[in-house]
Formats: sequence, C-alpha cells, structure tokens
Amino acid sequence: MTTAFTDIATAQGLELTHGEVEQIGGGLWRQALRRLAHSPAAIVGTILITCFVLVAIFAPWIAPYAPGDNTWLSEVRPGEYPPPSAEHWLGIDPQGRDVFSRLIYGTRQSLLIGVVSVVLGGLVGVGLGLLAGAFSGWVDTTVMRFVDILLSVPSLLLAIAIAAVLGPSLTSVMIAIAVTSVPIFARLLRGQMLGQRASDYVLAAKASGLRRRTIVFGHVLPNSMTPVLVQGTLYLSIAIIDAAGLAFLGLSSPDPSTPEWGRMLTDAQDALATAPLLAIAPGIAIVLAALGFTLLGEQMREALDPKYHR
Amino acid sequence: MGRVIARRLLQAIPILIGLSVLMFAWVRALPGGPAEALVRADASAAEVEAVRESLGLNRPIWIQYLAYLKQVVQFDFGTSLMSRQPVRAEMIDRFPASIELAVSAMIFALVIGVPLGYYAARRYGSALDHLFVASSLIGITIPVFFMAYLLKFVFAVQLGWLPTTGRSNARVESDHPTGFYVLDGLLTGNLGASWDAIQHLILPAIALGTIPLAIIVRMTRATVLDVMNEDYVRTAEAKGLTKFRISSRHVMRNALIPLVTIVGLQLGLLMSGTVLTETVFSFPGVGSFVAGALFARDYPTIQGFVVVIAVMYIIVNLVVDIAYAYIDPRVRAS
Repeated sequence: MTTAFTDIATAQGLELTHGEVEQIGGGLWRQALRRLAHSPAAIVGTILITCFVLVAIFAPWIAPYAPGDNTWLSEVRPGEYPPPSAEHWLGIDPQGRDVFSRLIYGTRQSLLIGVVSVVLGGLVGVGLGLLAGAFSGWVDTTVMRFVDILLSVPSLLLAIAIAAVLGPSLTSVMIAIAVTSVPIFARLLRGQMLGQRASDYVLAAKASGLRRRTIVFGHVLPNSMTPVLVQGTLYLSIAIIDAAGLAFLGLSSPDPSTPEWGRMLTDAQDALATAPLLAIAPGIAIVLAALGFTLLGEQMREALDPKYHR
Repeated sequence: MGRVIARRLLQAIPILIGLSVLMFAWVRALPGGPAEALVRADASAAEVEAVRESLGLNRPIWIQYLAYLKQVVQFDFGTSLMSRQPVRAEMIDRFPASIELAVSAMIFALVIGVPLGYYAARRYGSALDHLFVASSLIGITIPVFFMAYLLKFVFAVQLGWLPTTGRSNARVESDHPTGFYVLDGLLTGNLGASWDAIQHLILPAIALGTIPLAIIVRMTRATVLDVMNEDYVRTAEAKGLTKFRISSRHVMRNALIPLVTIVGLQLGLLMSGTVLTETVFSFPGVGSFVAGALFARDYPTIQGFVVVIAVMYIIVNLVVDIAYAYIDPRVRAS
C-alpha cells in the first residue's frame, strides 16, 4: 500500500525507500497479526473457520454418501427414525437420507450464502460509503438519508420483505441478507473516511497538489478499509444465522433435496421428541460457524484498534 | 429540551417518507403485479379490478403514491388472503400478545443481564468473567428458533414443567378486556389466569430474550469497566463512601445510560424476532400470523406487518433519543 508520504515525497522529487516509509507509519496489520497469534479466542476462531472451509472444499471426500441419497427410506417409519450407527453417525432423516453427509454438504451452502451476501452487501455498501465520504454536500446527504431509511427497518424484517418479493430461493436469501448489510458498511466507511479526511496527511496531500481521485483511492480509502474488513468478518456470522432464520420461514430454496443447515433444522422439528440429534446437529453446526467468525472478527477489531493498546 | 424533541421529530419525517416510498415500490414489485398479488388466486376479475381501482393503477404514478399513502396512514392494508379478515383487524387482535411477549423477553434480559454484566466487570479477568463473556458470545450466535426448539424440548416436552404451545390453558377461565393476558388477570382479580399466562410466556420469552441478554451482559460489563476508571469514582472512593453507595449512586447510574439505547433498539428487533419464536411455540401473536402469511404468500398481511413494525421501530428510537437527552445532561448540552 502506498502512503501519502511516498506520493508527497515523489511529488516533491524525493525518493523514499520502503524501510523509511515503514518507520514513519504502516505496520498496523503486522502488529495486529502478532497480537492475534497470541489471542486464544482468535486462534479458536481461526481453527473453527479453517475446519469449516476445509470441510466445504473436501465435502465429496469426507461425506460417506451423496446428500440426496435416500436409499434408507424403507428403514424410516412415521415418527420413528433409525438411531445413529457405525454406518450413519448422526442417523437418518425422515426422507431416508444420511444426516452426517447432509451436514457436511450443508457447510458449502452456509459458507456460500455467508460469503456471497457479505461480498455483495460489502461492495454496494462500500460504494455508497465511498460516494458519501468522498463528496460532501448533497451527495453525502442523499446517500446517508437512503442509508438511514434502510436502517430504520429491523434487519430481519427487511430480509423477510425482500425475500418475500423475490420468491423462495438461495439467491433471494443472499440478496436479502446483502441488502441488510449495505447500510452498515456504508455508514461505517463514510465515518472512517470523514475521520481520515480531517487528518494531517490528507491536508499535506492536498497542499502538495494531489488530485482528489488520487487522495481518495490512494490514501483515504485504503486507510479507512480496516474496520470494514472487521465488520465483514463479523457480518459473516450474522449472515449464516439470518439465512437459517429465512430457511425456517420457508424463504430459502424450495428444493427439499438441497442440503442446508437452516432447512435441516426446520425439517427436524417434528422429530425433536424421537430423534433430537436431527435438529441438534445442524443447530450446533450453525452456532460453531457463527462463533468462529464472531471470535475472529472481535479479536481482529481489538487487535487493530489502538484504543485497546494504550 | 424542547429543541431536542423538535429536531428529532423533524429528522424522523424524511425517514417516514422514504419508508413509504420503499413500501410503495415493494407493492409494485410483487410477483404477478400489485393487484393480482394482493387478492386470492381464485379471485374474480371484478375483485382484481376493485383492488386495481383502490391502488389507482390506471392513474399517474404520483397519484398512485398519494392514494397509497392515504391507505397506509389509515393502516388500511386490505384483506388478509388467509383469514379473509381486514389485515388491520387481525393486527389489532394479535398485537397485545406480541407486545406482551417482547416486553417479557426484555424484562428477562434486563433482570438477568444487568447484574451479570456488573458482576463480570467487578470480577474483571476472573474465571467467572471469562465464563460470562464466553456464554454471551454463544448467546449471540444461537439462532432464535433453535434456542426455542431446545427450550421447548427440554422444559416442555421432556420435563413437562411448562406448556409447549399457546398463550393460555383453555381450562382456565378468564376475561380479556385489554388483550394483555397477564394484566387482564390482575385487572379482573383472577390471579390464576395471570399465573397461567406467565407460565405460557416463560419459554418463548427466554428464547426471544437470549440475544438481548447476551448484548446487555456485554454492554453493562463494558460500560461498568469504563465508569469504574473515571476520576469521579476514585474521588468517591477517596471520600470514604461505602461500596454500595459508590456502585449505586456513581457507577450504575452512569453505566446504565447507554442501556436505554440498547433497550430501545432491541425492542424493535424483538418485535420482528417474534416471527421465529411465536412459530415454534404456536403463540397466537402477530409473528406467527405473519410466518403463516409468508408460506401462504399473503402479501397484504406481510405488507401490514412490515409497515407497522418499521413505524414502531422508528417511534421507539425517537422516544429513546428523547429519553436519552432527558437522562443525560451532556447529550442535551451538545
């Protein structure tokens, strides 16, 4: 990342080496990484996330059966499901499918929903925040009023309203969750950019005649992105939990063969008394995945925030 | 103080207008077209035409918007496709149940959360502090409806301590002048009915209150830690005041101010959270009705719910901001 110092120095005909720049500022991420490496909570969070990512990638090799394989349907009686066994670690669901295999494949859906919705919401939110933060005046006012309106609706309600219009599908769940995250990213980035704009290095960059585009994209934006990345990590957890809630309300994929944790949990509610594991397994998977992102996100925030190191 | 209220009221106006524009666009984006989506699938051409007329679909867009605004201001959201009753009547019938549930959840979160947060801060760094922080993290990451399932399974199905579903026992005779069952029992002198209503509220309220509980524990802990390091607390200690007096008069009075905001924000979120909790416990409030509406694609009901809860959320936040200025002279001065 170039800093204002290098650009100003170049503009004034000076050559600064990387080491000199590093001494003046920088090193925030390296320091933060060092702190994260010593934080048990961050390590637990990272291990959980790594496990889920590996499970998602290698699902076909880890899962003993295909997620839609209902070979064992004949073993299922109404209200009575085969208990866990050596062949089926978590038992068989009411449709005669192996619960463990569906749980493994479900990791893919949950992570996909989380990542896609956060990236989508993050991009739009950062775009809006950038507009508001880079231009003051009516652009800022217009964007922020729009953001205020989105924030005035509770996020679950907003997601329900959007998913209801788009019809039940994984895509509508992703779009609905993405929209709920837009105002959060936009407001956060704008606040950060306003803080950066008031700092001395931006004044110095302006004084040395740099163009607005260079200042915004080269300096203000890169220096404002850290809290956005932290928020993105934290929002992954919210996205996974909200996706489960939307699945519970029948707003996720209408295809019952799609292995998805929220859907598995919902479908298992009638079997709670006879086969509680059918609901508990996907429930715990959701909690662990959400916990992983929350732990890492919160520790990142602390590691990157100078306030915590006074 | 009057200026704070006036300024905050003025700020709410563009948000309400923006919200109405968004909802207007939402109705127009409904699958199959606005008029067709707002009537039953087996509706006659005349019924579709009547809705088309009420929405003013043949007139210019701004007249359509004004017509829509007029309907919304009167809380006229049309007829529920599921029950064939006006959405407004359904809402009025069911709102007391949901408000009773949301308030119970908030009381549960506050009564448990504030002492736990305070205790964690006083024992900062101890094993109990770590335990409370870890539990609150898990509390935030448990999906509301999963928590509801677990509570229902353990305490209602397995142990049989509390009822599994509903709001009251049909065998307990009671009158309901206000629709708030606990209050109704007290008003009519029927304590048995109040107790029955409380028993039906316990599990849904705990399930719904888990997230605010976790947030309140963390928030109280953080603010108490901040306040404990303030100069005025050190001064109070130096003056030789008793521990109780310092914690009640100096620490908690200041630490609880941010809680006002949390309570306001969370009440709005709790109202939307009732969609999930009420469904698990078949609790006859607005939430379970709307969950049914989502499955039945009952758009008039969904629209009514979104508008009413969003407006409530805006009003609650408005009241919270004003209350905040009233409680904290520093906010008023700024």
